[in-house]
Amino acid sequence: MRTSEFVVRDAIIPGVEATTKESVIREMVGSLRAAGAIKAAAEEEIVKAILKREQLGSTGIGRGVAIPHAKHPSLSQPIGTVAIAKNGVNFNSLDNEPVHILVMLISPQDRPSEHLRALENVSKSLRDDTFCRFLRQSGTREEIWELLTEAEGNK
Amino acid sequence: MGSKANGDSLAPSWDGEPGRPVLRSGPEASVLHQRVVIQHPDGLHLRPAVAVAQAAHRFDAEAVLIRGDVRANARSVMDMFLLLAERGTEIELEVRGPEANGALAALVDILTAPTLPEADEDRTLPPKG
Repeated sequence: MRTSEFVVRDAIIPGVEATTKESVIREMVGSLRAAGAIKAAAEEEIVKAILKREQLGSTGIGRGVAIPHAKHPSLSQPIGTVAIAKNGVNFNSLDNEPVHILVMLISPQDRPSEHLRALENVSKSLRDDTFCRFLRQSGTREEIWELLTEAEGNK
Repeated sequence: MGSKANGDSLAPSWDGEPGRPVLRSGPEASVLHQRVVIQHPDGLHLRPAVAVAQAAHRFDAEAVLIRGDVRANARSVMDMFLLLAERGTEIELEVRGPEANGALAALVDILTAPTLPEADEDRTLPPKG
């Protein structure tokens, strides 16, 4: 599944304000709720599920990237959002570097293949240093969306 | 995937069986090969991939996971996502270096474990009635 098929365009955050792991996750889930992608009643549960997942091991996979994620029964298909943290967030990453690019993925229960395909596509783009640099320089939701869809076209 | 599925010209020839390491002597250094079948119910997703990357960093060895013509550095989580390795997928491990034996054993343990310690990842919330 392509990145633009699960990323909710209206939930993209070009300049995340939060500075801690928990507050960034809350801001991202809140943005998905505000965009109508998740129900308000599920918001707190999803935040808790993502934080619980982080306790098992950080999803900060190095090179300034984190992929916070969880599964939730209220969803019928994977959804997600992207946030850029210009100043970096301490995510206890694999390489101990601050995180600047966050890709959140929330999947329905028991759809592991789609989850893997979403991660595959995110990775294809994020392995490109130029893509990451442009992403971090993006100032608007539209710019980030353009980059995401353009990267897919180049695959 | 059958045990002899690597017959195309791109894939390295294979003369071993899954679960058994094969030592090949090359001109520079010996290279260990072993095929494994991914056992985790959710496949090689982020948590086992992170476990593999952390283990790979602990050894003085270069380890690569191979599926068809896709090669993933075992130290790169993002590389490993590109393998799209679901449960039951067969992966070839190629390890070289002074600590290749230890690295291979550690990676095989992680990749073939049906669950990781404290697993149950993501199954954090039962459906509500």
